[in-house]
Amino acid sequence: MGLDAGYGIGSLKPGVCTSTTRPASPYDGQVIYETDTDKIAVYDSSAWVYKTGTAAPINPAMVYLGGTTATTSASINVDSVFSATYQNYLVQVSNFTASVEDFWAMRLRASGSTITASNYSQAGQLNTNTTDSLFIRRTTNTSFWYGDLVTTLSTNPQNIQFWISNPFAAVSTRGNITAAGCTNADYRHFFSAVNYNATTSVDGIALVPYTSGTLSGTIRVYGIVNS
Amino acid sequence: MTTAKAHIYNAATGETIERDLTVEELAQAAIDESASKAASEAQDAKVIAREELLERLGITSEEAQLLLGGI
Repeated sequence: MGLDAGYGIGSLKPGVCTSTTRPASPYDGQVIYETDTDKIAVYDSSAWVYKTGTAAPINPAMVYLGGTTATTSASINVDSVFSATYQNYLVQVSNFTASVEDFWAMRLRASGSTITASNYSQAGQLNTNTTDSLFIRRTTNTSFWYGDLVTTLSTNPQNIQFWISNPFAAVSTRGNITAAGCTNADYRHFFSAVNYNATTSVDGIALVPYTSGTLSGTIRVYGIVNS
Repeated sequence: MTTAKAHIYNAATGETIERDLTVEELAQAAIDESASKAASEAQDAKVIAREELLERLGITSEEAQLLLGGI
């Protein structure tokens, strides 16, 4: 086999050429790199064929772990979703509605059972079209709480984000809940820091009405990649 | 009357079930409802006490907020 322009005679760079200095007598399967087009080409029996690649996948920062849509349920539960794989999670609830004007409550779950021990505490702020209030619920409560769903939620559903840290580890579970919804004429905006003050490993979450009625909506859980 | 259902999704198996509330869950719902009503009544009592205090002091709610540094 002789040398030709495709092998870069002067600079000894085999296979490096330009689109106008390709090997004159290529063989099937020969590979070249064209410096002017910045492309790799393969001689495919009778012609040079550019090889286009796909971009290498980018490692995601957040991984979807699962979700479900419930309609008029007395409780909406997700089990076996927190694990040792991730330290932090995002629970996203969208199109969230209630059958009656009510609060809703969020509880942690372990091995398929909802935890109702009096270890839930939180502090935050609730803004409505008629009230702005700060609140503190100390560690004697049986749930995390969000205030004042309204009947107009059937046409103006809320979206809720719950950032949660260390649920699966046997340490206190902490996080932040934010929610927004309704119209300018009748709105509910809410944020709160929450803490479950017990060294309990939990693997799930439950949404329930605070007093009565049913809930509807879609809940999705994402794991935040540790590094 | 429609029976209250629990909607449960298992992320490990991908399965979703709808089932009736258990006896324990119904009991907890009754406890929650009772506690919620008690909290609501306590809040209502606070509001009434506050309004009575403002009336005795002869100031409005906005004036009370100014005194306490609220905005």
